Amino acid sequence: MRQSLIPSLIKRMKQAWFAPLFLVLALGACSTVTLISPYDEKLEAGVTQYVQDLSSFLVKMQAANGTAAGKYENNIDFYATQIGLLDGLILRAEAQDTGVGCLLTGKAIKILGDKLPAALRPKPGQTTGTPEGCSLMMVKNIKAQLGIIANIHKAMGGLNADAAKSVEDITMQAIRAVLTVEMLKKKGE
Amino acid sequence: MTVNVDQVLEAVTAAGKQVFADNWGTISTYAETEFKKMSQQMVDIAANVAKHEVDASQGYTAEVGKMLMDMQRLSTVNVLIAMSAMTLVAAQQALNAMLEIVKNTLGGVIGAIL
Repeated sequence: MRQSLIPSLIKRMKQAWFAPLFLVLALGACSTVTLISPYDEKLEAGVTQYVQDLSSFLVKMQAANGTAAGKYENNIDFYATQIGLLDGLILRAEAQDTGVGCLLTGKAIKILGDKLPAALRPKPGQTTGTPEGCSLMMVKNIKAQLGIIANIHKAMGGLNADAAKSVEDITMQAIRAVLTVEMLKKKGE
Repeated sequence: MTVNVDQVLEAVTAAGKQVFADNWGTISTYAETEFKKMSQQMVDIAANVAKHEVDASQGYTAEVGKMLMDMQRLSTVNVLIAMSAMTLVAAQQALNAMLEIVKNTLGGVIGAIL
């Protein structure tokens, strides 16, 4: 009569040579290892929409600079709409986040130490972060940048070509980082 | 003192290589491109503040320059996060490729002796 598989397996595991082999089999049985969060189509679409809206807005503001149409007070709707769009993406990212936060690789933390922005520094006892926490932080950074753009608009009374170019170049870099990560995830799936 | 893009780029790249030493090969193309843009943006901010001091209709004030530097810091954080994610994606792909080989080559052998 055929013996049950489990006792046979346990007996074999007691043999030193079999343990690593069992580990390899167990790993081999896993279909894939996941270290990063899955590709998020809505995040990609959301930030792409935001960058398109911001680019058109900056072109309009440069053209209207020095006129009433270019003043911050007459463009509050743009900021309100975009904050709404980014809040939607943040809410979505928060729903997937476990609240652990985002940490860079251990080496980056060790070398950069106190020079790291507070949000990226580990809290006491924290040794890990999640990819979802990193997605959330990247979108929050883009929203914080929009708040700064509004403050610049208010402080200058309008946006001249030099300010608009700096704002656009810097924002693009933050957005490109999000899109780069999402494209990589898409390719890796 | 005038600071040019190459000076800033050299300092930023040296720091990046130190932080991501083990994974620099994986992320170098993205990192070098973004570091160059980052250096250019910082130099542009300084140039625009200087321009404004000469002609108030050009560039922007030091106060606006400071706000733009705050924006740049946030972009830099996103770039660092992306660089970390790239190393994780590379590790994930390497692990999964290894597991696929294990599954294909050893799976049958081990299955036969159980």
